[in-house]
Amino acid sequence: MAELHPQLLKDCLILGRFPLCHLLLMRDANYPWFILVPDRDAVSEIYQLSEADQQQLLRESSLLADFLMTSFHGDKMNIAALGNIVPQCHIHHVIRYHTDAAWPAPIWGCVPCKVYTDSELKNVVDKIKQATLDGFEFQENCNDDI
Amino acid sequence: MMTFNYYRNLVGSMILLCMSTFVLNAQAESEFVGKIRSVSIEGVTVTEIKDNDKKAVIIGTAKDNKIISKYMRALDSEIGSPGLEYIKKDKQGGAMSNFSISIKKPKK
Repeated sequence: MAELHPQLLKDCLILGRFPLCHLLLMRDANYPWFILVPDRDAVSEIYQLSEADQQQLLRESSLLADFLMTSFHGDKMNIAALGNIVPQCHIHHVIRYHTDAAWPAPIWGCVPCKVYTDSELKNVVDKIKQATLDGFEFQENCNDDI
Repeated sequence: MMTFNYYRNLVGSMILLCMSTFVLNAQAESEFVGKIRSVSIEGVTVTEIKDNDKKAVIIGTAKDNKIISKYMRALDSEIGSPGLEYIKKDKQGGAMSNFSISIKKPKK
């Protein structure tokens, strides 16, 4: 099992995992912002995954995006793999609204991170907890030991 | 003679002023480093703190990534937002990771 990068562990809450990827929630209340991290060692780019893993990643990403757009009533889904700061391969899934802090620009560098209130965080986590996504396993309080 | 004394006193005062400014700056830097040193997390060993003009760079080792992220969160809440510059697994094959974390100094 690949170890998650410390920057991801610091900035995110671990929500659970699909067969291939960990699912994380970015601790930024400006946008519902999720991250898929393939559980593979020494992979920084999608093309470095095996063909089967690439297919699985696309499947998990599509399942997640579909669920998020429905559940959070988003206007647009932004999916991006940058990795300029964190070298471990990870794919951002950000739900965008016409009214959000950065719309229509990309979210990066637009506004400072906004801390979730306890109730806001609970609302987001509960939506994921109640999700019935094929192959997804929710992990309760996964960051408690961090 | 009066002019000589005037300039001598003026130069002396300027030297004293420069020295006190230097001492104050040095104190400010060491206070910042001291603040970093006061943040302690079990499993993290800080081996060096480089005190640069605009930021401090913390070099150290930790037993795993979770511990490094815990240390970064502690720095975040006590001092300011840290940036992870690198993590490298121990080349000797040990379990420890070497890391470098930078923190910007507050503007004076």
